[in-house]
Amino acid sequence: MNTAVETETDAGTDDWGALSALPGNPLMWVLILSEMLVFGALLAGFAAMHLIDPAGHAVGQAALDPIMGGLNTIVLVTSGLFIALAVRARVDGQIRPARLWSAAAMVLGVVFLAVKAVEYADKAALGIGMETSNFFTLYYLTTGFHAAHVIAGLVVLGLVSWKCTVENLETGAAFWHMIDLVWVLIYPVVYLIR
Amino acid sequence: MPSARRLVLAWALLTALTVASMVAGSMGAGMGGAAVILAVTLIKARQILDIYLNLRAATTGWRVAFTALILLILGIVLSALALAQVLP
Repeated sequence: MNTAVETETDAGTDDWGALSALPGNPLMWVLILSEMLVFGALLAGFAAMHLIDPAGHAVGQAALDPIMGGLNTIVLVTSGLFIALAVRARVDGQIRPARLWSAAAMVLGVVFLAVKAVEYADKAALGIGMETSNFFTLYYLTTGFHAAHVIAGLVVLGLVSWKCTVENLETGAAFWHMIDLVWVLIYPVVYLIR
Repeated sequence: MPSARRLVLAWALLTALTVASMVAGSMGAGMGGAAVILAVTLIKARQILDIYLNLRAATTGWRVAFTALILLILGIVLSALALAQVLP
């Protein structure tokens, strides 16, 4: 009896406490919560800047292109759909379609980075850099940190597409959706709310 | 795991709400416009959590906790905007 219990525990039915009630890998949810708190703090920084220096905030925000930001939002939510469809296909036992959907999600991840690069190049052409103002310091910190997550996400999706088990793909997809979720919060606060 | 149809519906809603936010942002309707944009953002974040991340399969406590965290972040932003309008 005891041996059976020990064997079951060793097989990976670990008790994650409250985290066990979440779908997928519990550690990925810890990461999602952590990232929401980190990016939430950065967005609170934008809010504080709006309060302390509304004129400086307005000048900085006016130099941003909300169309480019909105385009990138649509690109990311579409890549989120593609990776979710990859998981759906893998759960249904379809490995090749899962890899194709995952590849499509990665292509859109690259498109996101390309649009971001165009935005950064436009700012550089106007002589705008990280030290131009407090607004742009926070802008480059927030969007640059997010872009670094996109790059890491592309590596993660590449790995889980290669080792394409249901659990791996679900975990990689959760990381990608976290990037998507964070951008959905960044876009209105940084680009739209005036 | 949601069906492919449910995932596509969530994407359509996310895309439509993003376009609506862009339009509202271009109109620049002050505090009212900001409140609408942030309300739309809450709906979008919940769609990603509930459908893409399948949080609807979790307990009510977790769903409430994630909603509360998003509300906290967006609430701080809206409060700062409101205070900036009031303070000299």
